[in-house]
Amino acid sequence: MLLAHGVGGRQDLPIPLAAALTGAVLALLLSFVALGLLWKEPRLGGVPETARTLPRRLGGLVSGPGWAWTWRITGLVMAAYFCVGLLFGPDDPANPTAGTFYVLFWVGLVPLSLLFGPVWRTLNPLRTVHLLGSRAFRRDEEKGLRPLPPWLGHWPAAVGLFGFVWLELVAPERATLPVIRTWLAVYCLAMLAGAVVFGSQWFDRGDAFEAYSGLIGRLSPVGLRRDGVLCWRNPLDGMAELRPAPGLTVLVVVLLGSTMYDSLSGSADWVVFVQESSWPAPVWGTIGLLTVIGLVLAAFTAATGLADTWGAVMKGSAVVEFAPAVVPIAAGYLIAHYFTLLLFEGQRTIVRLGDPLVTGTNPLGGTDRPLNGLGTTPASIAMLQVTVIVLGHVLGTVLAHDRALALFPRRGAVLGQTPLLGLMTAYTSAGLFLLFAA
Amino acid sequence: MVALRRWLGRILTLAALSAPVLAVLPAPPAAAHGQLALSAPAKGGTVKEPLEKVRLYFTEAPAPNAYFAVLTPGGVRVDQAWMPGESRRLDEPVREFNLVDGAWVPTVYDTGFGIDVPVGYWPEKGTYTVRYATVASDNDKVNGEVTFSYAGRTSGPPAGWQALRNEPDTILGAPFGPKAATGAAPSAATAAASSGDGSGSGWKIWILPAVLVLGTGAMIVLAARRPAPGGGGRPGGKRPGRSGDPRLRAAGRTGSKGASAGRRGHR
Repeated sequence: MLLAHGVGGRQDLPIPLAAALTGAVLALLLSFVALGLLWKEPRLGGVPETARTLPRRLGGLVSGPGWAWTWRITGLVMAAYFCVGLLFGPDDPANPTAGTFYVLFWVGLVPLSLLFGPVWRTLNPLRTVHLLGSRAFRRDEEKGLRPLPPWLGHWPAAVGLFGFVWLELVAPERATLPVIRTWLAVYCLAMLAGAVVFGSQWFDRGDAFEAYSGLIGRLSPVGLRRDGVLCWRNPLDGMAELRPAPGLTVLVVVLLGSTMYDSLSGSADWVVFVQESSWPAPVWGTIGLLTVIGLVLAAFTAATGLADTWGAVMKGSAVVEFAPAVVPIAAGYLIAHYFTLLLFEGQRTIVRLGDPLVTGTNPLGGTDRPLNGLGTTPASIAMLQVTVIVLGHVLGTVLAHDRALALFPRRGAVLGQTPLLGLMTAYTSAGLFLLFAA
Repeated sequence: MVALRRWLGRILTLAALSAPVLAVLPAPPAAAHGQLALSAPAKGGTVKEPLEKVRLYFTEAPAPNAYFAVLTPGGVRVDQAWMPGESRRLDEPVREFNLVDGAWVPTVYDTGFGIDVPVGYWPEKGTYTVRYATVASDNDKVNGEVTFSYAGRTSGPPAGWQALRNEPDTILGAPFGPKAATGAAPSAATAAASSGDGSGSGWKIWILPAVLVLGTGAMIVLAARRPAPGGGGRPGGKRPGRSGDPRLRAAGRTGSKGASAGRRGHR
C-alpha cells in the first residue's frame, strides 16, 4: 500500500491543534505561576564558580594552540570544497551548493551551536583569511584602521541577517547558482572590508552567521568560566549572560520573525494572494517579510514597554534587557520549522557532495537511493515540533522572569511580567498556528 | 495579585475563544510522488488578462500519455495539446512521507517539472477548471484539479478552432467520473490521511518529546534550587537598587551585588 503525506502537517498532529494550543498556553501559565511562587531572586548569569569542569584532558586540548588552528583549517577546507560546486559546478538541481548553503550550513548550525556553543566563530573561513592576511602584513589582526564604534552594537549583524533571510525566503531564483554567487560575493566583500577597517572584532558584531551561531550557542551546555576553564553550565546561564547592546532586539526579532514569515509564505492563501496581485512576487515577499518582522518587533516593544511602566523601570530600558528571552523561542521555532529539511534534504545533500561537479561518478552512490527516515513518522515530527516550540517559550518565560526580578522592584516584579506572559502566549499561539494551520 | 488574576482571566478567555475558531480551519492537502507542486495561475486565484497558457509544475515529469484539460465555467474545453515546459528548481524542497508496506519513507523533491497547456480563447468569465491526470514513477495515479476565476476580456474561438475531445487514457483510470466532476471529491490520499489511519502515532512518538521536557525541566529546577548569586541574604532581604537610578540597576546590578555583577561581565 502506498499513501502520501505532507511532512508534519496539521493532519499529522496526534492531538487536535486546539488541544495543542491550549496545552501550550497552560504550560506557559503554569510556569509563570510556579516561577512567581518558587523563584524569587535573580539567579542567572555567567558560569558559577561552583560549576563542574569538563575532564582536564579535554579542557587542556580545547585551550591548547592546536585546537583553534585545527578548526580554522577545517573551516577553510570546507569552504574551498563548497566553492568547487559553487564556482565550477553546473547550475543543476544535482549540484550540492544550494543544499549545502541553505540546509547543511544554515540549518545545521542550529544543532551544532546548541551542542558546542558559538562554533562558527572558530570555523568562519573569512575570519581565518583575515587573520592570515594580517599576519602576512605583520599587522595586529585585532586592530583595524579605527576602533569599532560602540553605538554600532549588533546592528551590522542584524542587517546582514536580514539580508540572508531575504535571500533564503524572498529572492527570486534563490536556489540557482548565479543568485547564491552574487549574494556570497557581496557578503564576503562586506565582511573582509569591515574587518580591514575595524579589525577582527568586526566579525563578532558584523558577521550575521557568527551572530546567529553565537546567539544559539549561548544555549549550549558547555561554556567558559571567567577564568577561561571549560565547564558544564546551565544553558539558562549562558543565555542570561548575553548583555544588552544596540541592535540586539532587532537581531533576535529578525531571527524569530523570518521563520514565522516562512510558515506564512507557504500557506495557500498567501500564494494565491501574491499570484493574483499585479505586483511582482519578490516585492510582496519583501513586504511580507518586513511586515511579519515588524509585527513581532511591535508586539515585543509594546509588551516590554508595558512591563517597563508596570514594573516601574525607566522607559525603554526593558526592551533590550528582555531580548535574550526571545532567543530560545527563535531556536525552538527554527528547529520545528527546519528539522525535516536538515534530516531529509541534508542526507541527500551529503550524498551530492560526493560529486560537486555533477560528473555522474559519485563515490557516495546515486542520489536516488531512498532516504533514511531514522524512525520518524509524520506524527512524531508534528509532536516534536509542538514540543520544541512550547519548550522554547517556557525557557523564554524563565529568562524573562529572572530578568524582571533583577530589573523591577519586588512590588512591580509580578505586575511587570504579565505583559511579557501575554507576549509569550501570543508568540506561541502564532507560531503553532502558522506551522500547523497556515 | 488582583491585576495578575485579571490578566490570567483575560488570557484564559482569549485561549478559550480562539480554540473553536482554529478547529474549523481546513486541513492542508496531502501530497505524493509526482504531485502538482505549483501552478500559474494559482489554485483559487483570479486572472484578469487572457493568458496564452496555463503552466503546471509537478515534482516528477508527467508521463507522455498524461491528460490535461482546461474547462470553462460552462464545461467547454478551451485547451490545446499540452507540451513539456521549462523545469525549475523549487525554491524550497517539497518534503513528504509515503507509507510503503507499513513503514513511513521520507522523500524530498526539489525540481518542478513544468508543462504548458495552451489556452485557445476565453469565452466567458467565471470559474475555470484545469484537470490533470498522469502516472507517477511508482505507478501511483496522480490526478486532480486546479480552479481559478477569470475576470478578463472574453472572446470567441479563433478561426478554425477545434476543441480537443480526448479522454484520459484507460491506464490513467477514470479520474473524472460523474462524482469527481463535481470537484468536491477529495483525492484518495487526502481521504485516507485524514481518516485517522494513524500517521505513525503510538506511544513511541512521545519518547523524544518526553526526554526534551524532562531535560528542560531539570535545567530549570537546577537553576531554581541553587542559591541566588551574591546571595547569603535571606529572600526579600537587601535587594540592590531598590531605590536610586533605575538605569544603574539595568546596567548590571552594581552596588551590594558586586560579585554577581562581576560574573555578568562581557565575554
